Amino acid sequence: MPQILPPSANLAVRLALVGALGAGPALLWLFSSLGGSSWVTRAGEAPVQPVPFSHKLHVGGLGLDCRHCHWWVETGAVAGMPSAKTCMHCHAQVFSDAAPLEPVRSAFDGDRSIEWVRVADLPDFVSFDHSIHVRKGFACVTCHGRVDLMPLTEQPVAMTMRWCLDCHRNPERYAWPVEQVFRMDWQPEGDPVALGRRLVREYGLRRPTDCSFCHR
Amino acid sequence: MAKGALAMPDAARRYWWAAFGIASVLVLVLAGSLAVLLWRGLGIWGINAPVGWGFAIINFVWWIGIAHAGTLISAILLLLRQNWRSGVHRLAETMTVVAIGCAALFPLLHMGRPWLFFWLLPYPNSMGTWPQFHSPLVWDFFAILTYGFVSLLFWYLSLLPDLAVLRDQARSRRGRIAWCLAALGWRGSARQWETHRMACWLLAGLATPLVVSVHSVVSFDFAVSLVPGWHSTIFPPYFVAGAIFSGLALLIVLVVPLRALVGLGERITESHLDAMAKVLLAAGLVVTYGYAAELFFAGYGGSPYERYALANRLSGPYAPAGWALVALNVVAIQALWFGAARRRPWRLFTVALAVSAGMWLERFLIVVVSLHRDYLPAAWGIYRPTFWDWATLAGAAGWFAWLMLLLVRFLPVMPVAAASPQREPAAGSDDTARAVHPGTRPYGLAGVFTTAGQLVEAVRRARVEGYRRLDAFSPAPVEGLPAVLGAPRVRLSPAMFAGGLAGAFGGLLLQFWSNVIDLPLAVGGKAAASWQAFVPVTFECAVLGAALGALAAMAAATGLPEPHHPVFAIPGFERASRDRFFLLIETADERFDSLRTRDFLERSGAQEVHEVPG
Amino acid sequence: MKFRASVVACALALLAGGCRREMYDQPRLEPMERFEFFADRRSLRPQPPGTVARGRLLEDRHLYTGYSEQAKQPVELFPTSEEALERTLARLAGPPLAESFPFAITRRHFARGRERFEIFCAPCHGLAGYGDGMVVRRGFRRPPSYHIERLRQAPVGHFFDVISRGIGAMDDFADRIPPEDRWAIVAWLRALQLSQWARLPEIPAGIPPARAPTPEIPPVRLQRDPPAELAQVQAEQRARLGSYGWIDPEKKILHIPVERAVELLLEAGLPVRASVAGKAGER
Repeated sequence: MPQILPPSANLAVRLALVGALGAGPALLWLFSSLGGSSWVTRAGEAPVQPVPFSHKLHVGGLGLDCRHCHWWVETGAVAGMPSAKTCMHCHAQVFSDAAPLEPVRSAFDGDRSIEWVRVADLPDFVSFDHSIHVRKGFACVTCHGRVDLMPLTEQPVAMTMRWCLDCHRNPERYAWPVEQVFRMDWQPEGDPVALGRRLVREYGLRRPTDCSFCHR
Repeated sequence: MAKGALAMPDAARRYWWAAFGIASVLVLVLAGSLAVLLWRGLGIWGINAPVGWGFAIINFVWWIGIAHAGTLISAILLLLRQNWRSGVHRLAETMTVVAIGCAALFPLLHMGRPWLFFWLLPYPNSMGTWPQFHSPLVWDFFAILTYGFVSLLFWYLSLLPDLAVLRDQARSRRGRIAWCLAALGWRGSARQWETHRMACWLLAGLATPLVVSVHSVVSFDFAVSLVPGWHSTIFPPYFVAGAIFSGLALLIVLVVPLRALVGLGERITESHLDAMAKVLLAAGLVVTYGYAAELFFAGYGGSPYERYALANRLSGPYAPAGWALVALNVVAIQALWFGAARRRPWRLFTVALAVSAGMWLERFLIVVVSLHRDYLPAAWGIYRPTFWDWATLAGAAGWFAWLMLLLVRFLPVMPVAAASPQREPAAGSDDTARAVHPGTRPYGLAGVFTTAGQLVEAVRRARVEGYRRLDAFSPAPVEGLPAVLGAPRVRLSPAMFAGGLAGAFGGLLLQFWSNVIDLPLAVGGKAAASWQAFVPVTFECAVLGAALGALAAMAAATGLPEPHHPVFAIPGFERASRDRFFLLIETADERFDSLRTRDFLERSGAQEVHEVPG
Repeated sequence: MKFRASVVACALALLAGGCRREMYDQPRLEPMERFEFFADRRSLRPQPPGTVARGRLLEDRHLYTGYSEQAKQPVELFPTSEEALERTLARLAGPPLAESFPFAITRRHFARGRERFEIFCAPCHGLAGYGDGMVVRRGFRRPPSYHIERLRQAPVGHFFDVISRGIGAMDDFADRIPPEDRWAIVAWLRALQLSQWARLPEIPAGIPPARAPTPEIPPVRLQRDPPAELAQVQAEQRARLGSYGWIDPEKKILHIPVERAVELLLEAGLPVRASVAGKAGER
């Protein structure tokens, strides 16, 4: 009886077997890391908007407060988008004939809305309320990043459930004093951990991780 | 492909093709209904409030139950030394593996988005969550995973020597390579046989509690809930007995036509059928006891809901199903008290077919009839299976039949090692292929013997002569050979114990860490750290760990997989899997001398002596 | 085989992950989501004309418009005296702007007013109200400073009316600032005005003798470092709001820290309409 397979087959078969055993965990690893990667979540990617609006110009350069345009944020679930009228308040005079602002002008003239592309889009099965977060000391930049540095707006971190839970479990790491939450560049003075603990006590922050807290 | 797997008469072949054709059509039906399901979603099934668990769960429980009979015959009867199992255990094991495959299909599909099944696994996901280990559905996932793995391992392990036979008989080069890879390099050495025997024994010991746990866990899916008709402590034993009952019935349904067609009458005799029928009757009586217990609990327990649920089975809108269940599962098996029914294959077949259908109805009764009228009369409803429900049911049966037909056709349906050598060996191989390259040191000298007794005697004498690097190859395990060889004892149990311990601790740690420390979620008002909820998964992890430990120890003890080995070059070694016995003395032995050793082998009664190229 | 199928399905699901189908976007509408059902594609519906939203009847003219309630005076179709003519003409001209606040102004309102002012008004009017905000520095028409005699004398209702309905280049802010907040902003304007035009009974020591310069706006040009410019402008404006200095040494008029101005206003009390004046002491 001749040899059917060469000696190298032994190594090949053993490696294939180990590979097959390791394939499951490897696939899990692949899926879990792909699922949270920016390739899937599109974190850090600025979608193409009808108007190339620059937060860097309006917030970083003009010092507009977040609430100048997103004025529902303190009382509503969604922060709200400014109407074309809000834009036209200034742009009726400043850059009043700039070509990129054409969608704003036509929306204003035609009483339509500018169709912005949602940058921070939570899934529909999550209930999120901006007002409670900003009132309890969670700053805009904590989730949306330094928009005052963004020429085009992007969502800097993937808004995965793990990311939500990180803060829901450890609010002391992320809480700011309520009067600072709309600041872009606030830095805690002294021990941030001690401050966080104090704020958690002061604002009575809970650590809500029940399913139905967000998935209502 | 090897034609030697199963000698099929022409008539049988025609039947086989007919059956295969029907099964193939059903597989296409399954593929079609799955495609529609994945494309359009679960709405194509009849499930809706209040019956959220329809055919998918019925079929799941039915198939997983059928799998259990295979384990019963292969493992439990092995441990009980019931020799009649030898004729049917391969078929039963094959049935187990295929049935688990069918069963696992249904919970996956029932999830709605089966491509996300891996969300059930505990891994650090982007949701920051862990499986809810307090839930029987998660226990189920672990139980089926472990059961599938152990069954596959058990099946493959017992198939291994037969795959070597197929390799040695294969005529085409491609077939030889395929079977060579499949056999992992099995060469029938004394140590491999010893390891094989021990591994089968130990895995049987492992599979026995496993099979009890799996269907207990399946029953927990129901029993842990509060639905009247489900919420009962009788469920685990009642489910396990029902599983064995239905599985044995299906095994009989498979065996009877097969033995008639293929002429296995001398291997699977009337007394085999008789034994199976007796076990079927016993399991059926336990199931009948379960029905009686349910009635008693409902009547004696005093819960009006429970009482109503039971009465509803026999008098509600599904009463025909209820009475059919009694007729098929309780009345029909009474025939098996009589030898005339047990020993006549087609009578037994009829009873078994009735039981198979009856057990499906039992699951229908448990799932649908309990759900359609629960506590709130305003939410009562009627479950109407849709076309796609039926198509999936038929398709899964076709899928099962399709796989069984293929496996029966191309793999040995009987353990070949137990069969007496009758047929002539395949055509001899060409001699040019085994020319020894001059200058390479040979691996050793091999003597060929015709009986096991000669081999044992030769080994004994070689030991006396002072040879230490010996190996012996045989087509079947030879009693006393390992002892004569003086090889160190094969020990698999320490590795299994270590693996089991690691699995248990790992599983327990995982559950405590993920469900108590990292993500404590209050579900059903249970405490996060209620350890009782962690018992099933800990057990399944222990079994899985032990099986993996056994696998590692087997690989270490036998050196498998090793598809290339010098002994394969021995002329005529293909008969080592059939009717010849080989003794190998390696050149590495201190006392090896090519002339004197050759002389010794010839004196010991070797028919031929060959040099083994290095 | 099934396993392989699931792996392939998983891979496909991952590839499709970017599309976010399934339950990510459900058929229900999120606020401000596009909705083809209506011609304007808005899911958020504007209030239909001729309707009143619940709780938005806005009966209180003083509170919601900044005009005082008109006294029920008899109107003569054929006035027989000068006085009667005046009365009738006044009635025909519409109600007068409110001279008082509709509710008592407390410390809380000043704080709220300051916050809202800095969000909505300061971009043009500047933090100190000189009409030198950042937007104006980028070419928007410069609004008048609050610190001119006309506006110091203007009734509070005027400011409320301007916020509610706009004036000149200024659009209205009625949608963005609720009426209570508008009144709070008006209160803050009063504090700003006092802080930049204060006569104190005792002049604090150590005030530099030089007169504070009037804020000027440089011509619009390409900016090299807008954030730095912003920081500098805001620092100047805050400095003016936070310190003592002379506006007019001859008339003994100072600019004082705005916090001091708030205290002074709280001591003196801002005018409140008669119907709630009695209750002011309780708050």
